[in-house]
Amino acid sequence: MVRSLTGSLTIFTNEQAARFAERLRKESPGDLAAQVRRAIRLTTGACPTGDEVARDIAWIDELRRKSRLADQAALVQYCLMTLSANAFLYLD
Amino acid sequence: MDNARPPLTTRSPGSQFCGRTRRELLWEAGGGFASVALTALLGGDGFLSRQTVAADGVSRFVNPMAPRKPALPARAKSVIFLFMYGGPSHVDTFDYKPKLYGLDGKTIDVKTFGRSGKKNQGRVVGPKWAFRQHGQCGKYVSDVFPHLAACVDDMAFVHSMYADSPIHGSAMLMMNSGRIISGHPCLGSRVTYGLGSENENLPGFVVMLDRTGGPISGAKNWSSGYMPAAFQGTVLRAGDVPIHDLAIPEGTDRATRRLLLDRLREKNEAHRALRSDNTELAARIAAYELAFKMQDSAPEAVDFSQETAETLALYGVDRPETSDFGRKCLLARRLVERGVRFIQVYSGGAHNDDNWDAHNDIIANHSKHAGHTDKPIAGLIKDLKQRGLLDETLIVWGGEFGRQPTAEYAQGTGRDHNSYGFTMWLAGGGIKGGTSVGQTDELGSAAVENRFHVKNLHATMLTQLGFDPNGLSYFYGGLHQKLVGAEGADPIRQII
Repeated sequence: MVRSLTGSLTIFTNEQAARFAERLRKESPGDLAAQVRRAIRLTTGACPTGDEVARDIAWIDELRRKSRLADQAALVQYCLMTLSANAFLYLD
Repeated sequence: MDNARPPLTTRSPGSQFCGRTRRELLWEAGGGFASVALTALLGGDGFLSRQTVAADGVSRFVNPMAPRKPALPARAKSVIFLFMYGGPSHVDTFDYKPKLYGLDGKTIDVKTFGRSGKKNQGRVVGPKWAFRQHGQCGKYVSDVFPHLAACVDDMAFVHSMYADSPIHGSAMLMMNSGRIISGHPCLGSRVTYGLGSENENLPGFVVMLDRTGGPISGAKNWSSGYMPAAFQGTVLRAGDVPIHDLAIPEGTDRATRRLLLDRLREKNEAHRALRSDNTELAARIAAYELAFKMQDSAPEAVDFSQETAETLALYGVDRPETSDFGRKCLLARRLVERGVRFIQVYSGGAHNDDNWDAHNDIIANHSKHAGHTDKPIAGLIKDLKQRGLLDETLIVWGGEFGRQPTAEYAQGTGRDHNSYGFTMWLAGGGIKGGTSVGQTDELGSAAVENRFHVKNLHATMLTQLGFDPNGLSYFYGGLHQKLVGAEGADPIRQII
C-alpha cells in the first residue's frame, strides 16, 4: 500500500496533471473557459456551474499574476488541483 | 460501464459528453494502471485532520487530535513503545534462571507450545550469557545488555507476562491492539482517541520501522481499526527524508502550493457539504493541511544538527552498529519534546534473523539485535532523565512473546516461541523503578506467580496516562469496545 501524506499530490499525479493540461490545450486552444469546463467535466462527471467556472478562471489568473506562471504552467497547477480533489478521488 | 456506448475516439475534441464518467477519464489517461495507482494513493493516505486551523491561519477544522484532558490524574503524557519484534528470549536477557545452565543439553519433560506445535519434552538450551547483579536494586541482567544493566534502578520488570498466541501475526496484533484478530484499533489509536496530541504540526501516533522492513501484517500493527482513520499511526523515518512524497516538487514554490491548497479546500468543502456522513472527506481535507505544515515541521523534527556530540554518542549515533536504532531513539525523544503522544519504535523487521526470532542460533541472533539496541535504549532512558522528561514519558520494552527454554531442533541453540511466559519492562511515566514482579517456573517455560496477561500491561499503560482502562471505550458493532476487552483488566499495581 502506498502510504502518502500528501495523498494525490505526488510525482505520479504531477505527471498526469501535465498530460491533462496538454490535452486540454489541444482540445480548446486559447479558450481558458472551455478548458476549465472540460477539466471539471472530465474529473467529476458533473456539468460545472457558471459560478464554479468563473471562480476557477479567477484562480488561474491569480496564479499567473502572483506566482508569475505562464498560461500552460498555470493550467498544469489547475489540473493538479482537479486531480487532487475529493470530487475526483472519491466515487459516490 | 455502458458497453453499448460508441467508442470515445469518435467524439470531437471539446464536445459535451454527458454520460462520460471519471472511470472513462482514467481509462483514457492510461488505462487500468492509472486507476489502480490512484486507488492505491487514495487507500494509502488515511492520514487525517489533526489541526484546528488550516495552514492559512483562518479556516477552522474539526480536529480529532485536539489535546484532551484525561479523566483521572495522569503520570505519563507520552508513550515510547520499544517493540522487539520476533520475541526476545527472557531467559537470556532479564529472567535469571540459574538452574537452567546445568540442564544444558539434557532432554527433560516440559510442556511447550510454539510454531512447531505442542510438545511434552525438549532439549534444554542453557542461558548463553552470564547474569550479574546491577544497580541498588541488585537486579540480575545478562551480559547481552551491558548498557541497559546500568539503568535497572529506573526499570520495572514484569517477568510473568503471558499472551494468547505463540504465532507472530496474531501475537503482534494481541500486543498492539489487545486481540489476536485484525480490525481492532491499536494502542496508539486508543491513546490518541482519548487524549489527542499536543502538537498540531506532527502526527499524534508515530511508528518507526526497522531498516529491514515492517513486522508481519505491516500496517495492521498501527491501524485504527474501526475507529476513524484519523487515529491510525504514521510511519516516520529517522533519516534525512522523514516522509516520502512530502516535499513540494521541484519547480513549485510554497506560495503557489498554498494557493492551490486554498482553492482545493474550497472545492472539497463544497463537495463535502452534500456528503457530511463521510468522515473520510473531512479527513482528506485536513490531511493536505497537515502535510503542508509538516513540510516544515517534519524536517525540523529529524534535524539532529543542534544535538551535541555527547548526546549523539549517548544514543550510539556515532557508531555503525548502533547508529540506526540510536537515531530512532533520539528522534523518539525529540518527538516527545514536541508533544507527540504515542511513538512506537521497532527493533527487528522482515523475516527470520532480521528480527529477534532466534529459531536457529540464539547467540548470533541476540548478540546482533541486543548489540544494535542496548546502548541506544540506555541512552534514551538517561537522556530523558537528565532532561526531566522521564517522569512524564512511559517507556515500554518487549516483544510479542518470549522464547522457550528448550531447543526447537535437534541441533543448535535456537529457541521456539513462548507465549506462556515472558518478560517485559517499563520505565518512567510514574512506574516504580528497580522493581520486579511475577515469576516464571524455574525453567522459564511458563508464568506461574502473579501472572499478567497482555491486557494487564495495556491497562497499566492506560492508567499511567490517566484513564480508567475499563472505562475508555469506543462504540462499535453494538458494543462499547475496550482495549482490555469486555471482561476488563486491572493494571499491574505492584510497579506503579
